[in-house]
Amino acid sequence: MSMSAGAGKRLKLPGSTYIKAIAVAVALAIITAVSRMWGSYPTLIAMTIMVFYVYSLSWSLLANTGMVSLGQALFFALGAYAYGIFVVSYGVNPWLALFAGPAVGALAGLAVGFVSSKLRDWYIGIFTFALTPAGYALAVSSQLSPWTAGAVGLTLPAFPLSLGARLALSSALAFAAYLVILLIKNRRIGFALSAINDDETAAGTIGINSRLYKTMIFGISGYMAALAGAMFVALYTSYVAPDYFGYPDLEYSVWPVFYSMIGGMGYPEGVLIGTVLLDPLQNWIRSSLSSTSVVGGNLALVIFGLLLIVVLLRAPKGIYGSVARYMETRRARQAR
Amino acid sequence: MSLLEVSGVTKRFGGLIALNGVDLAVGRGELVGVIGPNGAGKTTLVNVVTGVYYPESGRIIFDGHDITKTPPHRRARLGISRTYQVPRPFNNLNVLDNVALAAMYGSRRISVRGARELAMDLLGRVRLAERAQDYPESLSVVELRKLELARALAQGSKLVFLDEVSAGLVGDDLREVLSVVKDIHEGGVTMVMIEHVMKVIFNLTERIIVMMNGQKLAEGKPSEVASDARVVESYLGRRWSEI
Repeated sequence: MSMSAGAGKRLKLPGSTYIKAIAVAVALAIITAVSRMWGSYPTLIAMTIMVFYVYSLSWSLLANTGMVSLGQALFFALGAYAYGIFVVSYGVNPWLALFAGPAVGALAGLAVGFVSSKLRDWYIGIFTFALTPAGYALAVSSQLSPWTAGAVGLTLPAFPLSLGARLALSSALAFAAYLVILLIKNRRIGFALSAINDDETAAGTIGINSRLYKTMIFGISGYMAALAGAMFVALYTSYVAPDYFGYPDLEYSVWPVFYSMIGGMGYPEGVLIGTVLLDPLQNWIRSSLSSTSVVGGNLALVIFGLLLIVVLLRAPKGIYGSVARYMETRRARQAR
Repeated sequence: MSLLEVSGVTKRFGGLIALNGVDLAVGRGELVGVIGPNGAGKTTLVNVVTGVYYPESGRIIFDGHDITKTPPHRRARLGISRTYQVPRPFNNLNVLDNVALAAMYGSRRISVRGARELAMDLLGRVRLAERAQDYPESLSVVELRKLELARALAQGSKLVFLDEVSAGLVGDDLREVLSVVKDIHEGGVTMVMIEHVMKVIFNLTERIIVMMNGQKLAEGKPSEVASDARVVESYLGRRWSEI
């Protein structure tokens, strides 16, 4: 009799996923349209939002699999350099370089992931963190300077698109990255990643090959972070600098951590909220307040650090995560 | 041929010998009880068979495969599942998806939709259907145990290890969980029940293995084991004879 009670209950299928995807598409379209109409400076701000959304998604994909990368800038910078070197040293078509360059990030991701899959918890953070000075050292080394232009950095030819078209391309890529995360999340693999994040041993005993998945996810994350790096230099800065490796300034490694954790790293929609709120704020602090502060250019880091503490104390799953979890439990309670 | 054959398995932790040349055979359709005091090596036995630890020596044959050095996920795929003494649910997934996940992996490896349908059926079988949409953190101890049972079943396993499924339960809760276990076994699932107290499995099993200091002390029908002088003396002691 209890069998029939179970079978009669309607199954919850992710119908809300389509609504969320449409909402994200609309939000990205609005940001694109409004900033474009507003002027060229807002267009550039919107472009960095798109770039850092892709970048933050790459970080949160790892974090949601239980791997906290503190050196994500390694992949970001590799993507930027791969694009730059492909275009400048080898004359590769910029479009091809934009998508093929990040393959370098994917390969690096697979290698880092293979090692990380043998490590647990904070050891992954330390390992990834330790890789960024190595990346920086390679970028400024005199042996590689014919390709990297050393500490001076690479100046790139303009991408063959107008400013408005570059923004449109960035937002399309941001939406594509969101869709990739959504696809992963709603398939078998998404459930497995969540289980690995929660309890790797228990995941193993129900048949999940966590080492394989962790390596694979690092490869995907490496590609996404590198794509963000390639987008950044191809569509926005037209310049590749060694400090994109997040060394000696940590910034490039920590922004995706702040954006994801404050917005809600368990949800790609939350990561979008975090990026949209914080990335322009970061730009504003840097351009308007830094000159007057005692910590100079690091003021944004200080403010975001405090903000992170406050948000995580009040809402451990980030802004979006707390709201989503609350709604879900309320719905479950009402359904009964 | 037996479904599971463990022969001469030894597992050390530093200077401690947790398992010392243990032999164990489980036939298809059997429900075997393993009892012993704390530190007897019961949970280590489960961990060695499910692949959490690899033994230093000995062999483990499951369903014709030598799995002595096989990683846990591949053993699960071959058809071994377990519950944990302290329940280990996936707290980021609701009850339904906890069970569905096991059906997506394990030996079934079915799609999300199919897995959720099967999970709903299994939650009905362990009488937990009404909690399907809740998160594990809101479950009681007895509900968590049922969740673990449903998860082990969802894997489509040939052999299920229950690691102290009765721990911390008394009265109606204990009877409820044991009756679910009985239903599952009568549905044709081979089981090994690890227990601390013989009373719990006395009426459920046809065969009990008594462990002590990492070794097999005795083996036989519950009544034989209970009256075995060595067992009574070294493990059950005076308290058992009083019951």
